[in-house]
Amino acid sequence: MTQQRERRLAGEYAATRLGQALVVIQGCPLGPIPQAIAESMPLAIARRVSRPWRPEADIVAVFGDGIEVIECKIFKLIDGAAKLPLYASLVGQTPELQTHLPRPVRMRLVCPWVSIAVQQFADGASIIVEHFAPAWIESYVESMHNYWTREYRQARAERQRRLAELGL
Amino acid sequence: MLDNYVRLVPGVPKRLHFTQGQVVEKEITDPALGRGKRLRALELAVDREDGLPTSKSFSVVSEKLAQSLAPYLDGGRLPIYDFTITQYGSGYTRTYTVEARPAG
Repeated sequence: MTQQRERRLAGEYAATRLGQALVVIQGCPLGPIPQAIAESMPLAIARRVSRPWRPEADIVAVFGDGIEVIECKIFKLIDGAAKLPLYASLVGQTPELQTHLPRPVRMRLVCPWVSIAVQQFADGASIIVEHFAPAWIESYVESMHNYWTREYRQARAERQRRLAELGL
Repeated sequence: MLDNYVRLVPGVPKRLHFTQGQVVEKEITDPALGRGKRLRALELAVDREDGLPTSKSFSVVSEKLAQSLAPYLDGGRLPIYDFTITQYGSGYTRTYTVEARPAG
């Protein structure tokens, strides 16, 4: 299995923090199905065919009083915050969510920390910023910060040399 | 033929209710190399499939899908929900939508 850190963050957030939601959708496609596709085939097939062209939110959670579009980010907080207004604007046109409309749409950025710039942008855009840092985050972040240090580069080169010696 | 495992068909939502699950080591035949290899899989016990009682397993080897489902193992949350899983694409480009709603 390869590493899917942000997927893991989203999965753990969905399982532990969204217990009050009526529905929680991880990897939710957003927006309309392109017209040319929608008109040329049945809806179920059109959804499948159009999937690669539709943006995808990490999580969409439906509550009694609203729908939350949620992005979970570890490092690229600006990407997450910037996507949310676009994603929120697409909720009303998303076929998968039609049975849950109309409901107010909220935006939430889930991250282990936040910079001042992102927090200011979020405040201005009515994005809720939620701190969420499972225990494994700290060691992962530390390893990423150390990735290009001399010690890590040397250790990595040594590991690769041993693997090459073993023919792996 | 024996139908002991739940299979996902790309683009077709599959509604499942799980009773328990764990990460296990499995030995499979690599389809590209034609030889056996060991891998880790999230193995889930299924007692309802598309609303009908069943007794099958759902074996997850995709890291993407496992990361979406595995957190529900903690704290006994897994049986609380019905999961609707839709696979899109195939091979390494597969993506999944995982919908969880309280089991009814």
